[in-house]
Amino acid sequence: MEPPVSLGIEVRDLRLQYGDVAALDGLSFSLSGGKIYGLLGRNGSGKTSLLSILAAFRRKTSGTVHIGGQEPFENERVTAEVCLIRESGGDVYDNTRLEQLLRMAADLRPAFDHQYALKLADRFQLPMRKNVQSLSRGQRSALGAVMGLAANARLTMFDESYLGMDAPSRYAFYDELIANYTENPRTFIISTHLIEEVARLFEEVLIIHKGRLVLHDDVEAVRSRGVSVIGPAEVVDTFTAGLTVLNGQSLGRTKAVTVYGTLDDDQRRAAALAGLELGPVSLQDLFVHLTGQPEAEAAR
Amino acid sequence: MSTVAKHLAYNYRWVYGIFMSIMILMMAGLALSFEVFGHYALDDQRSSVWETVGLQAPRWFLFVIGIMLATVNLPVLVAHGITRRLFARGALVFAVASSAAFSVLMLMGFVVERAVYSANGMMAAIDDYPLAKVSDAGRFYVEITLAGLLFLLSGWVIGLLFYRLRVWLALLALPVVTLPVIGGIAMGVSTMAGVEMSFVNVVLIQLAAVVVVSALGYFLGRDVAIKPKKA
Repeated sequence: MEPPVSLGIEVRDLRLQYGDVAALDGLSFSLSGGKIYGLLGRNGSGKTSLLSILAAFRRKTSGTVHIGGQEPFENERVTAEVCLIRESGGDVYDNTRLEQLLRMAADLRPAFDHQYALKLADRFQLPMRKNVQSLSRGQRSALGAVMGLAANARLTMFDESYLGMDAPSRYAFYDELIANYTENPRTFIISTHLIEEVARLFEEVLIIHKGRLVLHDDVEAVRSRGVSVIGPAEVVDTFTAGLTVLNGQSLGRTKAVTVYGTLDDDQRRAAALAGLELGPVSLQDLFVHLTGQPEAEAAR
Repeated sequence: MSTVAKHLAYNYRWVYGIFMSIMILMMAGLALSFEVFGHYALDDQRSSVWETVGLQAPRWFLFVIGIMLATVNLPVLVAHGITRRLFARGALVFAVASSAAFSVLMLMGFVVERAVYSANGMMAAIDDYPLAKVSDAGRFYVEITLAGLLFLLSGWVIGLLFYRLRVWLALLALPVVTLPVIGGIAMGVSTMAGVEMSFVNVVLIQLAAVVVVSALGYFLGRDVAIKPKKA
């Protein structure tokens, strides 16, 4: 029987301690797999720690982690199916030429698509005869994108691994990721701070804060947790009085605010009668609200 | 051969090739200088020149390879889906093969040096030549292979210590970790220096040291966290 193309993930009460500091503090969630997940969190929220445990780079302190129903740490059946590309552009030999690196990756990972890797390297204009240490930060990031996509791992994770790329390269990466996912559906987890730029890729979003899960939902449901209200400033102020306003911007007499929470039918009718325009909230605004202090505590 | 051992052999092929070429050149150079200068090449030294040049350098080279295995190869291979356990197994195969290969060169150096010394009537001037009789070559080979392996494994353990722990903790642990290594190497060295101990006892002690150091390496490496590289 063919194995399923994607891997589901079960995390229960996951804890990771660095001395006295709890990087992950009772994290629990369940991912069905076969989707592109966005992992959001502020610096030091525990994103990298979580991904490191999923990739068996690090052992958990306590709790349960199952990938495809199995514990990943030191389990070669799982680790062979998991690929994590970190911010530095992937864990590779610095003093090795790119062409050799891709051949090595093909030797170590049975599913690695060498031809596809060469095609991607060409698209990102990587100098194949150069050593990794002579690459710019952007080129290292592009190398990470190549290694991650061509690995064909059933669970592929990118941890801020494309930060060094310039905008055209980042958009090329997003396009390649979508094309690759469409052709070969599997589980992707993408950790990022470039929320609005990457949000179009996500099907589900997880937000963690101080090692705990603040939110896990599909993107549309997340967006529906807030409403943007646009209209004449005084009308907007009157309408949003008593609501949780995340932020606001004024341009002349027009004002746009983001409100946290859903509006009922009466409120929507009232907004329409007042000439206000309602729209979905941006993921970034919600993220800022949910992980800001002390709101994040209240959201738990 | 395992995927890991094959990968390591491929990864180090140039480094090994260059170092072995240098050893062969040194061997040829020494042989030539003894042929040309005879006794004068020895000067006041009454011991084997190859013992200093050809025996020590490869050991310290293997020691550095051991450090590299822990700090460079392990993180890359774990990031490519290889478990630490599989890596340790493959690295051990690679370590034994490396030590065995370098020991061939070390032994050849003594055989060549001995032949040159004998041909020039210089053997009488040498005290305690390491390879006392050519017929001892097999035993000698086993001893230097195990000593080379101990150097490599000690590099592996020390590399893991510093990769895993804070520097001051690693420094504190260093004497304990290197104790069996020093013991095992001392055995090999002392027998070569003429201290009476049966070959079997020497090998058993060296093997015990190999087991202890391998176990230390296993315990230090079995759950080591793979650290992020500095961008």
